[in-house]
Amino acid sequence: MSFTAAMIGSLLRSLAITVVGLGIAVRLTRSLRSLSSREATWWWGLTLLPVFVPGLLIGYGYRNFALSLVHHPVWNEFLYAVLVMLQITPVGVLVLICSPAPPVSASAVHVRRLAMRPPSLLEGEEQRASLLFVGDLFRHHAFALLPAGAVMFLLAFQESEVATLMQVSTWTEWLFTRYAGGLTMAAALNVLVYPVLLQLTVMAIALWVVSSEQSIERRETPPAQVFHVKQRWLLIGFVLFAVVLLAGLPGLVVMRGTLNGFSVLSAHPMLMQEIGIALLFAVTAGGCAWLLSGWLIFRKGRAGRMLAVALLLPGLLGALALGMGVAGMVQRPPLVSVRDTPLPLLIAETLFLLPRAMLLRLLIGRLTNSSAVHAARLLSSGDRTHREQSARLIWRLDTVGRWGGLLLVSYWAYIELTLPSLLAPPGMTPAPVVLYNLMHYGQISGLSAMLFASLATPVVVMIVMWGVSRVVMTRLRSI
Amino acid sequence: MQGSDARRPIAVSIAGLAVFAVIAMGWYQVSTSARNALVVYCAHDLLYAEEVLRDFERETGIPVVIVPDTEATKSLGLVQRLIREKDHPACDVFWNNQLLGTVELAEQGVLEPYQGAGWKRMSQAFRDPNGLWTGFGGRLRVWIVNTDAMPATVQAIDERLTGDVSLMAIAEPMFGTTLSHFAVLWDEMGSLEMQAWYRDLRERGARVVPGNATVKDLVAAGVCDFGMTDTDDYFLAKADGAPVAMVPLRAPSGETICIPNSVAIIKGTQKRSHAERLLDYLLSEQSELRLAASKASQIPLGPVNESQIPADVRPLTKWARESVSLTDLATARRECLAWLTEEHAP
Repeated sequence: MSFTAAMIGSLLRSLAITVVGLGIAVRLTRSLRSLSSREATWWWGLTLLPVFVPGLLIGYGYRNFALSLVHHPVWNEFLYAVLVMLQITPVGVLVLICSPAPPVSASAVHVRRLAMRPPSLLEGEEQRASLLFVGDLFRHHAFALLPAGAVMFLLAFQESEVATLMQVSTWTEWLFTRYAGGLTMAAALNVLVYPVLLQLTVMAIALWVVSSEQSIERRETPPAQVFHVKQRWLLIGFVLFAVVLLAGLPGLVVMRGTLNGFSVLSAHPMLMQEIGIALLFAVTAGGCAWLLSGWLIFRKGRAGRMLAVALLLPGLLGALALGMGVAGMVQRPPLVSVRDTPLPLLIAETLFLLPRAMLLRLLIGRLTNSSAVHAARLLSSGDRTHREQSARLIWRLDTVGRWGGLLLVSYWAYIELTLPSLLAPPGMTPAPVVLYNLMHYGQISGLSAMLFASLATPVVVMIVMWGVSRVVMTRLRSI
Repeated sequence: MQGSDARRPIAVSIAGLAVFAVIAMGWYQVSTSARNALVVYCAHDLLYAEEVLRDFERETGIPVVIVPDTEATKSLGLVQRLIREKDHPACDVFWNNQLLGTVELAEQGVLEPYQGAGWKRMSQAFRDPNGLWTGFGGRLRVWIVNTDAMPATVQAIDERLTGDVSLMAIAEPMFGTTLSHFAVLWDEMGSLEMQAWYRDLRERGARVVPGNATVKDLVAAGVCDFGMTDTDDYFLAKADGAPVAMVPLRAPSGETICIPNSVAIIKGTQKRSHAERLLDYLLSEQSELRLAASKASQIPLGPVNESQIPADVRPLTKWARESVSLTDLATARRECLAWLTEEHAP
C-alpha cells in the first residue's frame, strides 16, 4: 500500500469515527451535566475509564481474532474503528465539558426558531430570518462541537499501536515501519509533512472558530437537574459496552494466559528492571508535564498564549510526529551527544503529555468547588481538631483531584509505546515496549503473564502512592 | 499555632526532597548500569536470546544490555539503525537472526574483524573470510501445512500453487528471513522472472502478512491451509498441538535454504575484549546445542556431539547441509529490497 492510500484511508476512517463518536459524546455530556454532584464523581470516573485502557492490552487481546478475519478485512476494519471510537469518545465528552459556552445559546436558537413562525414575521422577511436562524444554529453547534470533534479526529488519526497489532493499515503504521526499515530521516520527515499539515489545518479551524466568537458569560443552567432513566441507561450502556470490549475481553485473554504462564516470570528477571525503568520515565515525564501545565495555565496575555500554543503543539501532533522530530534532531551533532541519554525521551514524553495534563487540569478546575475549599482552608486556623478536619476536607475537595491528575498523566506516560520505541536509549527500554516487540509470538501464556505483570504494577504503585500520600498530606496539613 | 504554621512548609519541603531523592537515585542506578554494560543489538527472538545472554553475564560477570528489534521490522530495523549510527555507534555486538543484513553491514564498513575460537570452529560456508561476521545456529525455510486441510507433500503444495492461492500465507518479504529467501530467488530466477512470480502470487490472492509467526498462527488455526515460514515457527505450532506438518522449501536449484544467525563486533566499540568473549561464547558448541534444545530449535552449524542434538532437530542437519550458500547474495538482497520497497510502499 502506498503512503497516499494509507493516509486517505486513515483520514476517512478518522472522520467516520469522529462523526459517530461525537454524536455519542454529546448525549453522554448531556447526561453527565444533569447529574447531582454526589453522583457525578462516580459517573465521571466510569465514563473516562476507556481512555486509560492501554493500547497494548487492546491490541494483544484482539490480535488473534483480527488474524482470523484475514479473509474479511472489512470486518477487521470495522472492529478496529469501533474500538478506537469507544476509546476516544470519553475524550470528546471531556472537551465538551471543558469548552467555553457557545456565543449563541441554545435558548437563543430556540427563540430564533420561534421567531420564524409566520405570525411573528414581517412580510418579505422570511429569507433573512431563515439565514439568521441557520447562522445562529451554526454558531451554536460549531462553537460547541468543533473543539471536541477536532481533538477526537486528531486522536483517531494518530492511533498506531492497536492498528499495528490488529494489522490495520494506517499512515502511522506505514511510516513507522518504513522508517525502522531503512527510510532515511530526511525522507521520513518529507513524508511526515502531509499528515502534520492536515492536523495543523484541523487545529487551526477549531481554534479560529473558538477565538473568533465571544463566549457568553455564563454557562446556561441545565433546564432540569433530573437524571432521566433514559440518560442513565445511555451512560450505563456506553460504559458497559466500552469496558467489556476494550478491557473485559482482552483482560480475559491475558488472565487465562497468566494462570498458565506465571512461571515464565521467574525466567525473565529483567522484566522487573524494565518495569522499574518504565516507572521512572513515567514519574519523571508525568511530573514535568503536570508542573508545566500548572505553570502554563496561569499565563495570561498574548505572549502567554503564544507560549502555550508553542508548547502544546508538538504533543497535539501525536507521538509519531513528535518522536521522529526529536529523533531527527539528536541524530546529528551537536545533539548526538545526548542521543544515548534519557533526555530526548523525557523531553518528548513531557511535550506529548502536556495537552492531556492541561485538559485534566481544566476538568479538575470545573469539578472543584472553590468556595468549599476556601471554607476548608479557613477551618485550618482553629485548634488541632479543626486542623485535622480541615486537612481531611482539603484532601477530599482539592488535593485528591490534583494528585489524581498527576498519577493519571504519569500512567499515560507509562503505557506510551511510540515515543520509547523511537527514542529509548540502550539499556533503558521500558517494559511495555519490550512486550510490544514480543507480540509477534501471538497470545502465548508466558507473554500474557509478562503483560499482566507489567500492566498491574503501575496500578498497584498508584494505589500505594494514593494511600501513602493521603496519610502524609493530611498529617502535614494538620501539623 | 504559629509554631505549627512554621513547621508545615519545612515538613512539605522534606517530603518533596525525599521523593526527588528517590527518583534521582533511580536515574543514577539505571544510567550507571547502562553505561558499564556491553550493548548487544539482538534480532534473535528475545525470549530465547535473553536466557543465553543472561547466562553469559552470570558466567563471565560482564553485564549485557539487550536492544531488541521492533515488532514490525524484524532484523531489518536493527541493520538500518546500525547504518544510521555508523559514525556514533551505541552498539558493541550485533546478534542478527539471519545473515544477509550482517553481510550488508560488513560491506558498509560497520563491522570490526575478529577471528577467535568461535570463528575457527565454523565452516567457511558460514563465516566471513576476514572474520567480520560468523554464522551459527540456523533455521530452514519450510512450507508449513495444516494437515486437516491438505496433505503435507511437495505434490500437494505444487498443485495448490497452480490454482487459487487465497489460502496461502507469506510474510512481508521486506523483512526477516523472507527477505533472505527472496534474495535467493532473485539471484537464481533473475529479477524479472522473480518479480513476475511474486506479482502473480499476490494477484491470485496470496495473503501477505506481517511476519513468519503470523503465517504459522494462520495455518495452525486453519485460517490458511499452508504458508512459507521457518522451522522455529513450525516447531512452536507443533509444540502447541496444532495439526501441522512441514516440507522443506527448495530454491529453483533444488537446494534448501538454511538461514544462520550471525554475530559481529561493531566498529568503534569501546569494549572490544568483552565483545570478543561474547562472540566466542555464542559461537561455542555449548551455545549451539543450547539453541537447538530451546523452543527455537536452531540447527547447529559447527561440529557438535550429534547425540546431544534433540531428536526433532537432528533430521534438519542433513537438510541444512544441502543449503544454498548465502554469502555472496548481498547485492541480490539490496536490489530485491529496493524493488520490494517500491512494490509495497511507493
